[in-house]
Amino acid sequence: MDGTRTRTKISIKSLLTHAVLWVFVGIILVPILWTFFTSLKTPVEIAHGTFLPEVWRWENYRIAWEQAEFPRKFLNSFIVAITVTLGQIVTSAMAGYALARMEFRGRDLIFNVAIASMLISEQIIIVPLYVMLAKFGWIDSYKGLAIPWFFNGFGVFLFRQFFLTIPKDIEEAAIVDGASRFRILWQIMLPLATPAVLTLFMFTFIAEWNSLFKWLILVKSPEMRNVQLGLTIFQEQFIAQYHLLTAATILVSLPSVILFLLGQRYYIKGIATTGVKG
Amino acid sequence: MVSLPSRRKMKYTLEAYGFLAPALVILITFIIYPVLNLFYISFFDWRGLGAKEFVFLDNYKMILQREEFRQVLKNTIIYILGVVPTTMVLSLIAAVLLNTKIRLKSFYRTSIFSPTAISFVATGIIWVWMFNSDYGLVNRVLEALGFSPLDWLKSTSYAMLAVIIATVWARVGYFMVIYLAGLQTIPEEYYEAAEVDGATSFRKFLHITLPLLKPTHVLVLVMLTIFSFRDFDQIYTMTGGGPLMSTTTLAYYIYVLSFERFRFSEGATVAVILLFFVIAVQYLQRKVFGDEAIY
Repeated sequence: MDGTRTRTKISIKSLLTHAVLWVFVGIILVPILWTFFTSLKTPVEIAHGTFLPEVWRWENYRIAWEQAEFPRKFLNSFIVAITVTLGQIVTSAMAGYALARMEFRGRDLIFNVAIASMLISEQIIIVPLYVMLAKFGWIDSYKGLAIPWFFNGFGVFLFRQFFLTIPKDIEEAAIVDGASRFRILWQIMLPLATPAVLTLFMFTFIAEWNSLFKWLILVKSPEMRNVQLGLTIFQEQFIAQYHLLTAATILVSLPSVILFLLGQRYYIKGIATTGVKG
Repeated sequence: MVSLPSRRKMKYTLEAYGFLAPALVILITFIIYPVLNLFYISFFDWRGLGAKEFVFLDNYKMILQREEFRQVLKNTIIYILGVVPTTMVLSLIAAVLLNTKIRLKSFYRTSIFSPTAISFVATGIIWVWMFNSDYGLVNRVLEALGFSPLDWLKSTSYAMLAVIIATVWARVGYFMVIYLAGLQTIPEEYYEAAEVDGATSFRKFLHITLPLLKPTHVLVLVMLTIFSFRDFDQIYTMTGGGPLMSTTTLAYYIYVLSFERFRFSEGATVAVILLFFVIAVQYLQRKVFGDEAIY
């Protein structure tokens, strides 16, 4: 008797849990699916308002790709995203190693400043940064879009935390053998820190692929636009061509979504580490 | 003469700074120096080109007295109050439900998390399309429920709500993950003990989960506020700050002043004010809730 009652109670509870989770999933996925289906319709179908397209018109993607002049924009996005990502991994790994493993004056101060720098958003410093990059002649260049973004407080924090978890005796043997600190970092510590490298890679690449603001300000010529800036311009030009606009939106989202699906584990772990006491 | 140990210490320090150098050079040149320069620029009357005129605090006086600025400040507060509590509550609910032993768990988690991978430009376009007054799904649903359709993004009363909805939609998954990580830190024994006492799920949530998640609540609150202060892309894509500046927040206002009106000194002044707000709100949140949660 009692057992049956508990079981019924449990199944009602799990039914309710599933129901609420489906509401969440519905609210998240319906807009995405609807955008996706729109990208495969004809303008007439869009006006009619059917949810599913009758014939899936994949050529909308080809047309959007050409109309939005995407090849160069994908290349620009890729070049800057990969450069910034590698730059951040190098600076963060080196700084994180020093902060985790070396004793020196000013260590705490530097760590705190690195953490505090995460409060400074792009918009806060954009005016002086723009003035400076204009003086350097770095407007409209890969240099101007990449180098100022080579520092990431989160990356420094991430590597420091990771290096702290690696036992010290692993390096000590190498020190006895006379290996330099630099070699120890690149040949011993960094391979051990692969999860941290992958986490920062995912984070930075996706953030850079998705960035708009700096491109909006620092880019003048059409050839230097990235995919996100290209998308906003496409939005203005093709305001009523929803099938093409939605196709372009999905094309631009694909690289970051694919990377996310491949490395979900690291991406989620990266978010979770920020949230857990270190 | 420097003694040997201190000379070794010095060598050690130099080596450490060698490792820090690449990060520090970028940090100082492209973040710290611009922040200092920001204050300097805000004391001048300058439009980006031509001569600077030293006006000290006049920019601040002028901007703080402007009707437009008060509107922007109000928008920013509405935006933050709209996004932060809603995202907190929804991400907490999703996380608590996903923290149970349940089938399809990874499907639910990936689905709810998926908007995190797309850009805010894409999010903006998706929701412009959702809120479209003629073909938008939102208006269709409203009509089906017997309400009259709205011209969401062209209305001064609803555009901000539309932007808030899009932002919450895009961010719930991110904070759900942080809450899930927080939930893992609560020892199972607390729940077992409560079960022995015959506590209901709701009471367990109220008396164990909610209070023990305090560090996570603080972290989520602080991060969400920081994110909300800097949100730009979705506003740019959905409304362009309009209609009639009804969705222009402080971060967006910096862009309008500096790069639409080319008043660099005014943009810098608002940036200083925004920086002040970010630091003040951070300080307040830590003061009220304690700073044990951060890192």
